Amino acid sequence: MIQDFTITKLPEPPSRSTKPDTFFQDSSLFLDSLIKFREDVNRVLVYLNTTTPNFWICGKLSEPNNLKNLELEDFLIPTPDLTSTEFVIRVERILINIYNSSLNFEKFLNLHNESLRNRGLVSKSPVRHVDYAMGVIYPPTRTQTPDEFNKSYEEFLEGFIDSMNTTYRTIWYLNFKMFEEVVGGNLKDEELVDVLSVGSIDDTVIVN
Amino acid sequence: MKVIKAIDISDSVLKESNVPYDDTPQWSISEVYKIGDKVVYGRNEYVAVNDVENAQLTPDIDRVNWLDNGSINRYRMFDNIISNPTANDTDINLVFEPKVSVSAIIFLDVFCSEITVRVIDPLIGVIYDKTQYGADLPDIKSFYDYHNAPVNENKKVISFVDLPDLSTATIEVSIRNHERDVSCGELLMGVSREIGKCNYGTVIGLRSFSRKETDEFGRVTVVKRKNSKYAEYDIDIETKNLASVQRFFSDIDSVPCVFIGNETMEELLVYGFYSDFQATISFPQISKCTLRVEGLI
Repeated sequence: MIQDFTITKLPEPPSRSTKPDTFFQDSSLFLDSLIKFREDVNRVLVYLNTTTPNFWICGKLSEPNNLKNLELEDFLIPTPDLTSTEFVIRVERILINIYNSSLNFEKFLNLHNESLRNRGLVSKSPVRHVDYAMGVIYPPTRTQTPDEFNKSYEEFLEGFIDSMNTTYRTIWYLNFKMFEEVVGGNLKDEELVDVLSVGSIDDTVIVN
Repeated sequence: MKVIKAIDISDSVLKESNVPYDDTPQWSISEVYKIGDKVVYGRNEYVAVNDVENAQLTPDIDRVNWLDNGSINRYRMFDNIISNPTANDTDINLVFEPKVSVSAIIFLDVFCSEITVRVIDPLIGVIYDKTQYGADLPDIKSFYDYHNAPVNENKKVISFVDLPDLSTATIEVSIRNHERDVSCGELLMGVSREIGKCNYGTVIGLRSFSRKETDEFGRVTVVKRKNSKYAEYDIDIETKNLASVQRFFSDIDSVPCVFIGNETMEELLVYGFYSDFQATISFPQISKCTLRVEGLI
């Protein structure tokens, strides 16, 4: 089953240091946009969790478009012992990474849609488990108290990182290339079976 | 309390700048000039007040025929006039080879989002690399603070006072603004000298050169001009250092310097001349001093 998903494009994040004149407008717009973005991401995750076939960790895989996983250090939660400047730098780094992830997310989905249209689905395996995403928690809103806002922010980030990484892994596995000389794109069922039967699959070898 | 005697940033010190030269043509001895023509000579722009031909003197000396219009944009940040800034699109990138010790760089009346200073040792490489931000941030300790705390006006003074003191180093400066023009009123560098401790009781102020005149009918005419800072620092100096401090002040008499009462308080930084230094040897260890400084415009 092919789904065409549209993802809300996030606006550019606010910045106290580089765009102080429009900071409050940018901040409101960004936080408000996270609400719709969360809905879109979760819709994709439900589809991937329930509809998409399993994925393999096998053979030599190459990462489509070199879109890297999100690292925890890109979203390192700042702590109150930091100076105001250090705190602001950390928060703005997180916001830029959320924004960049939203751009990458759309690219990933477009790649997935194109692959499904052109090459069909890879069949299920009864052996491997589906990698479920936890989903994105509701983002912070400005009607919350300061403590509620801060707690929501941290929970949102945790869910966001997990969801993005799970999505990337899922779509990555669905679009792997196995040995350039074997096939130049996605695998069909019979090709996958052929390779498996050779016995050369090593499920720990993943090469960029 | 620190005092920085600024070095002269001549062409032998300023090695590179990405600020372009003005379109105004360079002065030429063979050219004929009409009244109103503008030329560039050295770092300044000159306007002809008479027709000039067969020039015998350069414009900087020929005060009869040429009016000094001040520094061109590229050099305004080195002309000792804070209110006359150098401006450029989005960034100003500079490279200096001072060939003397420099431990501090001060940026006055700067409009930017961030400044990076790098010091490069010719043998080791980068030995100092710091960035400071133009935003004057309130106390921000949580995500809520980040999104809700007020946005203050940007800082106008940014100081780097901890540079490694190395006379062979190259200093790179990058002043940046995000999608906006960047400007800097004055860039000063020199060796920072600690002279004592600045106390509460220090007085700061602004002197306005504007004129407001009221005629006999009560109507007010305003002529807006620039203003300058002044400060009367209340300082404690160790008595054993008093002689050397007094010699230092004798040395910087009529020399524009940067006086920094406290590095974290922009209001206690004045670039200008000291007009009076007075010390009372109050105690065996400590002398109570006052230092009056008149800032430049």
